[in-house]
Amino acid sequence: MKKISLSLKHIRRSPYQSLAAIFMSTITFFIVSIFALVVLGAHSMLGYFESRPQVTAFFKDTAPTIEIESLKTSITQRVIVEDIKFISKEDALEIYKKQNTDNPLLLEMVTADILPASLEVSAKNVNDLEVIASIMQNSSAVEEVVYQKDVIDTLRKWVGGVRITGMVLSGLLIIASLTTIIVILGIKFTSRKTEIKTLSLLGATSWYIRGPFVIEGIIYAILGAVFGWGFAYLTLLYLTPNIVNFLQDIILLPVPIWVMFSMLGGEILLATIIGALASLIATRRFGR
Amino acid sequence: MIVFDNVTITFGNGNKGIKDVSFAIGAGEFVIVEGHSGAGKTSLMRAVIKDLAISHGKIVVDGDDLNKIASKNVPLLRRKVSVVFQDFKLLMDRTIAENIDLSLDIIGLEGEIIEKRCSELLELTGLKDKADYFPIQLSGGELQRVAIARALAPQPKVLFADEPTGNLDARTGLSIIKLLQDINEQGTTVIMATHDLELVEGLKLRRLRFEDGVLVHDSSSRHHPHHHKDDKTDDHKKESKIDVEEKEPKHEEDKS
Repeated sequence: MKKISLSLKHIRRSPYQSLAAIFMSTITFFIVSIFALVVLGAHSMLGYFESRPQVTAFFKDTAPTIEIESLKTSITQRVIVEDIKFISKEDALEIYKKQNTDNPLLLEMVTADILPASLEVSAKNVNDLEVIASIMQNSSAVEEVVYQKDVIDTLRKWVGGVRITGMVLSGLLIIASLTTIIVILGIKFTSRKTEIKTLSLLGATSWYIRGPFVIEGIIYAILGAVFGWGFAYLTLLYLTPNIVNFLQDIILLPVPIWVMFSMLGGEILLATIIGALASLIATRRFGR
Repeated sequence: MIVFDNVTITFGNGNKGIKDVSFAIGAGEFVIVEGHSGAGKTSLMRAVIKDLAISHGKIVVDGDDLNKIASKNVPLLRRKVSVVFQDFKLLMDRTIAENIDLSLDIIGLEGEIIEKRCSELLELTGLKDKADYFPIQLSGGELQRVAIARALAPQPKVLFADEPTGNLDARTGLSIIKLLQDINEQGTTVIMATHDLELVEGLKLRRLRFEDGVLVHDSSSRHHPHHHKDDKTDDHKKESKIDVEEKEPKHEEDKS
């Protein structure tokens, strides 16, 4: 307790240096939080697509019903197929109407004739989509086949890219935070050299002398983690309506509160390690 | 209590702080280490608290060979041997009481005990009414008393006062020596380093005289390291007091 109050006294005595350390930590943990949220969201999105492996075949307007029925029968018999659903032109119009209830002008312009009938096939496994797609493609009744494997592959690449970028950027910022705290505590430690030497001559142990500096470093990093996390959360809450609108059927938001607090817990742990490491490095000369 | 056995301290530039010095100080003794500036008195003090490494020989303090003492145990040594520094080394941004409290806090005492002990030390050193003063508000003699009070805080076995009368007038200097004698009476071994030979001239105390890092005279020749294999015993303390008494007529002769 004494050491904590001594650390707080050190912080109060040099407010600008302390602010610089906290500011740098805040930026670091803000970026860490944002990237963590983006990666979490992207993973959920990937899971959404992977749990709904679907191939859609759009039929030509001239496609005879017998050929459509034949394709349905041929696909239904496959063990790799989870579910199959035929959407007639009328069904397509109903879906279209539901999606555009806000825009009566669009509804007036579209009739069932211009919408294609389609066959939606869900696979048991995302890797089977290619086989189903190729069977459908071979049918002369089919105009176009759309399936999500490409979407998933692209999304996977993006998630991988975001994760690597996030890790590199977070790593660099963590190093920057670590360096900032080392420099600031190093300056403070050096400026109190005479006092530290006196304490040592009076019989103070290494921990008695370095303890308040170590606690000070941890306080900087933890304050940065809490502020960074808080700003990231506020940003997320602010952007939630726009993101929900953009993602439509994919339900990612709101992020469960336990996820946010788990993230905060992880960041505080990381901050403690950063703060302790930085202050131990800053005061290492005394430890020798 | 303290044994120096052929100790030499060599600085980085090759100069020697002390050269091949041997002596022993028993528990409860009051010893004056005298010599001009640069004679090696401060080097001796720094070596005793392991603030300066020795290049040759052996120092034993309260049974511990300083060559073998682990760095994590050096704080314990420094609580056993307290030093009153020539430049006081008081923290200028803290009050007198806070400076003394610091020394008590270092040894891990708690609030109320610190307060009680601090009050006792202020009483002993005659600074009770100056507890809330800052060092800058005190005279040289008062600062010296604060430094002594702080050094006594951990209840050390040895008190090493480095030039405690250095910047003081004769009267204040003598009052400091009287205080050190009172502390010695209570059982603490006191070593006082001084260059002021006149001030200590009439005192009936054992003297170690240094010149250019060499111990040129030990007023008690019986205090040789080899005679103090068990220097922690009460017998030794008795012997030490006898030495002082025996030395008295000799000192008188010197004077005449």
